[in-house]
Amino acid sequence: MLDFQLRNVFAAAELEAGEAAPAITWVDLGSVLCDAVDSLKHFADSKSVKITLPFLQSGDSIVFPTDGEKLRVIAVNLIDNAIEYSHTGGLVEVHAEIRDDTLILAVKDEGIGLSDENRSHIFERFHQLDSGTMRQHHGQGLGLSVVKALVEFLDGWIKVESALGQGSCFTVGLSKGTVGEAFGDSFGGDLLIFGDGEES
Amino acid sequence: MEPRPDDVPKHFLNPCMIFVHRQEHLVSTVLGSCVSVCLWDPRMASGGINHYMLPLWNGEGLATPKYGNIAIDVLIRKMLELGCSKERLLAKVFGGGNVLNAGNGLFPIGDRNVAIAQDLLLQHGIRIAAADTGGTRGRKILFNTRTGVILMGKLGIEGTQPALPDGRPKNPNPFI
Repeated sequence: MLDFQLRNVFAAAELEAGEAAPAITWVDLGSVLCDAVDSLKHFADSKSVKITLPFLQSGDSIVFPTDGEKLRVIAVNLIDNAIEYSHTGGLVEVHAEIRDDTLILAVKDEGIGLSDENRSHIFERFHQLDSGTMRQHHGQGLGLSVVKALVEFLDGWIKVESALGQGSCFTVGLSKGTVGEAFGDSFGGDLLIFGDGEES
Repeated sequence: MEPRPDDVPKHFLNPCMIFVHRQEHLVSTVLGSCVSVCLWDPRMASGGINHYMLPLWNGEGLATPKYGNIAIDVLIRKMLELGCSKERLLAKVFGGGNVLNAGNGLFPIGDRNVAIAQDLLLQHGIRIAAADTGGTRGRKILFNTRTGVILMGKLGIEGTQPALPDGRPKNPNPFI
């Protein structure tokens, strides 16, 4: 868990410094998401929360060009959040599919859900549903702000469907990344040169 | 000995990123409504560049260089950390094309991205030595961080989305 929180702090620092670079490769979603679930197994077991990945049942592997490490951080945060706000013995479902060249990742829980007021604040840094010395939930309130920033960094979107007492579903859509070196020094058409000082 | 052009390290700058380096680099990026501010210190012969998508961070989520007010402040801070002097810094500003043609009468995103660069650089007392902004076409720039020289080409045809000349597929995100 410490490793997970540290990863969030490093990811936030990297993103805020403008030093987060996309490392786009063909990513096996089953592998990344199973790894994310495995890393939270102890936490899920401690609350007797069951995590399912129904998309794996078909047996077909889904590969998608994106940043696997950033996708893993996104998934771990969303699944950790779902476990955190699930009731004891609850169920968390992790769905993944590719629709119109977009990777759709959805993490659904049957937990306490969000009020309309809380929904508008959940992506703020260091915001948690409960705060103060009597708070019941772990973490620093950094996870969802990191998720949102990573999703936007990967040219994606995130939406939340939730009702108080009925659980939440966080859905992320990621556009296809471009695999390989993007640098190019060829120019089409007219070329302007801006010299070492004054306007040209 | 001057490094040959082929020996100069190359870097592609993605949106939301900042690149500052003491040593010479060729940095390229592709801009639609996004803006890049290039800063260069002639005495240090060092430069840095950002690439932001929206003008202002609204306080939600992380304060990343996706937003102009963050990207420009962080770029200046990194240049100063490198040993550059704010008084010597020269700025060049590119991008801010209104490639979306939304036509909704609002102050277009490209214009707002350029305006925040002008405002913040003025506040910091950094002179804009050159700029190529606005219009309806995308731009590709290549910045030599040692010489401060920037090559810029316009992309696509007037009034259309920018097409990338290096064979990469068009990015579906119109803000890039």
